Amino acid sequence: MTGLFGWFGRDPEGGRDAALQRMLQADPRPPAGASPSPRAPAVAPLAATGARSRQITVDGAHLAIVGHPRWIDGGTRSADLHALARALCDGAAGGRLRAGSVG
Amino acid sequence: MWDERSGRGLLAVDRIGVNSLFYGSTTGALVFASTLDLLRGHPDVRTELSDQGLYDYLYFHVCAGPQTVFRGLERLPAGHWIEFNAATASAPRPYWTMRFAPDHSRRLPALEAEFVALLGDAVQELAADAPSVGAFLSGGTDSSTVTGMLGRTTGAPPRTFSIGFDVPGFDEMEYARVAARHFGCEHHEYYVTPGDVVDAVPKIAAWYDQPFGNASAVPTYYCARMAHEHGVERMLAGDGGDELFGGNERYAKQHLFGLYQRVPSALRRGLIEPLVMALPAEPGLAPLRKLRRYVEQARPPMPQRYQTYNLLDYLGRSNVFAPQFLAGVDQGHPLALLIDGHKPYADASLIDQMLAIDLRFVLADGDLPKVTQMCAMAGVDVAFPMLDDRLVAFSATLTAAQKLRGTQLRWFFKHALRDFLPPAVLTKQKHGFGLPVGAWLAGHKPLLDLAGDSITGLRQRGIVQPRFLDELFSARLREHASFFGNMIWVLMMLGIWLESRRL
Repeated sequence: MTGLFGWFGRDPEGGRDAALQRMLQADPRPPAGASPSPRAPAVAPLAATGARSRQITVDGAHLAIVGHPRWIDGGTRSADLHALARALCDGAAGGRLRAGSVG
Repeated sequence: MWDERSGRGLLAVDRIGVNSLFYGSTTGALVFASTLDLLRGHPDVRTELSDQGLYDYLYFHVCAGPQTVFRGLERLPAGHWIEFNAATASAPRPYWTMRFAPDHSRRLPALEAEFVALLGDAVQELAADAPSVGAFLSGGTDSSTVTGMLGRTTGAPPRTFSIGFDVPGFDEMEYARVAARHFGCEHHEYYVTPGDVVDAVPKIAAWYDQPFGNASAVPTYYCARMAHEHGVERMLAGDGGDELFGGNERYAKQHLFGLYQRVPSALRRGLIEPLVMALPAEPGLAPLRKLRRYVEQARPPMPQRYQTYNLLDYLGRSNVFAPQFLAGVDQGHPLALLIDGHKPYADASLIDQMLAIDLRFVLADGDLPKVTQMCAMAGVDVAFPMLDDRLVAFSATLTAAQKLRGTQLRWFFKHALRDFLPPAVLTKQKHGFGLPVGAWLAGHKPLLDLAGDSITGLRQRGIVQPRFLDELFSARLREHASFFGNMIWVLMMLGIWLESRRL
């Protein structure tokens, strides 16, 4: 099964690595294909599993993605996740995420 | 997404609800995951079944978001996002909503040319980055269109996969074959049997992370599995066309009910309804029976009218549920969800009101989880060209009459593709991969036994009345297998799912 998971805020007792593993193992469906290792940024644990998920880090922005997202800006469309990461980052940081900006 | 530079994070889900994202709060944390199972694995997330969630499931036959079957755990609505920073998380907010903006000024030829081009672009984009692509082909307008566009954009024979049933009235394979021949497909077929259903149902029910009662999951799974066995890595599905372009049969029926609402209310309430409702419940004369039934179904306003056929209402909630269970839930909650979903569109045309409701309650809560999860179970990826953002935006500019002309469904869609789709597909009645649930429950003992075994646990839980279950499996099933078979199916899937999660 492809998926993403994590949390923001206080880590549970027992530590974050153990909690991430426990979340991963709680899903009874086997990962689809080779599963990338869950990676967690320093502050907000964020992980992905399954061959059809992707996890990238761009300029300090950590993204976990499932699906076929497109970044749309005016007449420009892109499936490039790095462009999506930068754009989301700019939008979220500035509170400027607006209708129609995420494909 | 978590942005270390700004100390802000973002949870977001696609516009239509192709994917799911669930979340819940613990002491000091917001936990999120793309499945409820992953979410429930967090050590601090409490797992407690929600009676309201169970009630809503039995009403809708799927779990209607944003609530889930677990108390305190919610699904992020389609087109919504949550932003969080070091101190707080926002409530879910929409970054996109469907906004109908009918454009009466555009000429039909230009509209049609744009539509066909957008269809091609959408299919091409989703086919381009997958090494091996196939298409579901039911023989309906959407799957046939996607199939044809797949062939046109790739320049190769589309690989198509179809499911049939050896049951009169349910088998649409002939239409799939017509489309396959028309577009020169490399076509594959499989006939699902009742034995297949018995084999697959326990696995399918357990695959979902909350109860899922849409029986079409079974043929969808077998179709996706067949594609996987033939080396396909991504399937293209036609879902969404009905909800964007006006293709569901009930739209035509609701149009007829809508005509009644055009009669001045003083006349309806002061004269017609008192007279008609004074008739016996089952008048002897057929025209009077029809008249009474029509007025009964047509007089509620939208969106209440949309649930006229709800099984729970027909069966009577107090007959179905255990009294204590019923006392602990808000029986009006499903309708409140519908009203909430309908409210922003109350002033839209009737067809747009229905499309808005169906985008949420049929597509996001039902059909998309059906296809995405069954493809995941079969080991193939799936994408939905009809839900391409450009096509969605385009559909919103069509006028009401271009979607539903009288009782003629998806008028514009069919007109635009009149020279592209085979005539038999253009004129056929909609059906899809609908499973003959009632016929097989009534005629295949192993399936009935599976259903009976599956609900054994439900008898002890105090949710439904054991007397109702007995009646459902005997008199009701004999009385109308296809109608009441659906309720057996929904209960069976619930029973198996509860056992699978040891809840």
